[in-house]
Amino acid sequence: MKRFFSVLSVALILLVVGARAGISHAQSGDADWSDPWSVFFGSHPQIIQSVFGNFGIAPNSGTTGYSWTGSDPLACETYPTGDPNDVIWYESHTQYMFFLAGANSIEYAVTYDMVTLLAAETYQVAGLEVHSFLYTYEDYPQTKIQVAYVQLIPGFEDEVYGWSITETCTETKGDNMPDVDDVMAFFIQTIRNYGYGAPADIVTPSGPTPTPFVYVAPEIEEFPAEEFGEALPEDEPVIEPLSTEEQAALVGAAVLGAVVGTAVVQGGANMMRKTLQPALVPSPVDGKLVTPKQAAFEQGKLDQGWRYNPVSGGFDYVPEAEKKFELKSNIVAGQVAQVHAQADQRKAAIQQKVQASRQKYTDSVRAEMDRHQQSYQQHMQTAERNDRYSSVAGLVETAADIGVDALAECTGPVGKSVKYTYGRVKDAIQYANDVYDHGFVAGSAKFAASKAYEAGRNKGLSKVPKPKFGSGKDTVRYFNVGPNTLAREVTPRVVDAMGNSAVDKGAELLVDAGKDAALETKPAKNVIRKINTVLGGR
Amino acid sequence: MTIPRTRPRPSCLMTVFKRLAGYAFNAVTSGMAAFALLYLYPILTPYVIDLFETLNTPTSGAWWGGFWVAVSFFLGAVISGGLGGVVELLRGRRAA
Repeated sequence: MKRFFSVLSVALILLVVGARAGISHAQSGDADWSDPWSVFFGSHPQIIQSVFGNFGIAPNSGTTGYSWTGSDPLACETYPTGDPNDVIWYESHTQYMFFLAGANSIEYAVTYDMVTLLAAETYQVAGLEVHSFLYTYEDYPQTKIQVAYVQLIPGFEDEVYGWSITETCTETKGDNMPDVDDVMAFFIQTIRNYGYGAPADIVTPSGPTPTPFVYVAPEIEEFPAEEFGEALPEDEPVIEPLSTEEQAALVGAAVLGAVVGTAVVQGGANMMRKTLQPALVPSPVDGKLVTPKQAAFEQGKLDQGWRYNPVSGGFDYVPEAEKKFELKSNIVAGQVAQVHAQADQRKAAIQQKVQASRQKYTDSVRAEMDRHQQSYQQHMQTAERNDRYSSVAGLVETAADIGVDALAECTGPVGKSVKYTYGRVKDAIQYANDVYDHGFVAGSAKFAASKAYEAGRNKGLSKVPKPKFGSGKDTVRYFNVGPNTLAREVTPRVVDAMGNSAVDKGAELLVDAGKDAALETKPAKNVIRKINTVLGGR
Repeated sequence: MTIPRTRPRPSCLMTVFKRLAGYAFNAVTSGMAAFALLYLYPILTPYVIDLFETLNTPTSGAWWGGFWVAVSFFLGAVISGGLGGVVELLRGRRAA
């Protein structure tokens, strides 16, 4: 769309721009009190903010543009369909008020394509000439703009200040924005209150004059903290949620702790129960010391009509007595009662005797049991003692065997005969022992079998290569043995013989252990049974 | 008819029931401990962090998990033991 300046807007621009042509005036920098109006802008922003505050706009650090907060969208009723969401112009009603400083700002405020000037006037306020305009845009007729400005210092075309007020959707709804002429009047009055007079009497200011500052603070909506996201202080630690594994571990630990806690309490309770166990009381049935619970139980049974039987050690149930037939006649009743009493007496006497007999029998049985108990303990002690003796005797026997072997080896024919005699004496003792243990026939058979086994064993072992201790001395002179000979020949010989005998004994013990295991097998048992049968034994 | 002199022992069914009741007791107290811990976890965490910092102990890894497992164990033991103690007291009072 091709845009063009309207005649009035061009004239307006020419009015402002042309007036300031060729004039350059620095607005910033050090204060130049020869030109107090240039100081005004930089040193008295509170004047600007007083104006904003008077019309309900919050002052801030800036001095150029402000907007009313909380604009009412219903003020902009330009909805073609009636739906407030379907607006022609902006989504909401907007109002802006800007402070315009300098000819550039004024020019920018009133320069726009397709401006339609609605009204324009020039009037005097406190000796100053105020220019006021009201215009809109041809392509945006829902917007109305008010601009007013004043030239503070005559001849200084750049010292122009003004205000612009913009509002959208005003053509249909009307105008609820402040009048720019009122803003200008308040602005000039504020300047005068701060000590600046009309152009005719400009003086150096001696400081601001206090003035009532009317400021209508806008209502500030409070927003929930959630809308600002994670705005927590840094000191707050971030608590990470527990993972599934961690929860499982914690629950498992809780279960374990519960189990342990229960066990501890149970154990403590049991210990307390044992510690605080009540004293024993005599039983109501036989006077023995029993627990109070047991006594109460027995008493309860007796109260229920049960009778304690010391033989069986339990309560016998006594059925209720049969209901007796009561006669009306006192004579017959008395006789019947007498008969019953006699019967009861006899019955009681018999029961007493039976009871005494049972008690006697029970006592005798108990005494027998005690005697057997004592006898059993004595036998056990004897068996244990004999077992100990037997093991010691076996050790002594082995040592004696080794000693005799060594003696026989060292002493030649004399030792050999001693060894022979020792062996026969051992055999005799073993034979007597077997006969004593198993009887004559079976004992003889066992001894014969044992000797046959030993012969076979020794024959077999003689073929088994065993480590032999040898010093190379086959014969030892056993007469006139001096200390040197004893040390040089006899002692090594004796040590060798004892070592060899110990090896033989160890081999025999190993084979005997195998024999004992083998005798437990079924074929061996069959053989032993056949031998016993042949020999007439058991 | 003869009954033994001693008091009758609890029946097998009663024994089984008592055993099951013990299991249920442990399960309930464990659940209470677990819920208590999940409730206390966000409350105690800042203090635990402070504690670990005071002790100059790392607040992550095995220390962290071990601490909470220990707390869970402790809670389970305390709750279970406390309730068990109350039960034992009631039993003792009833028996007396």
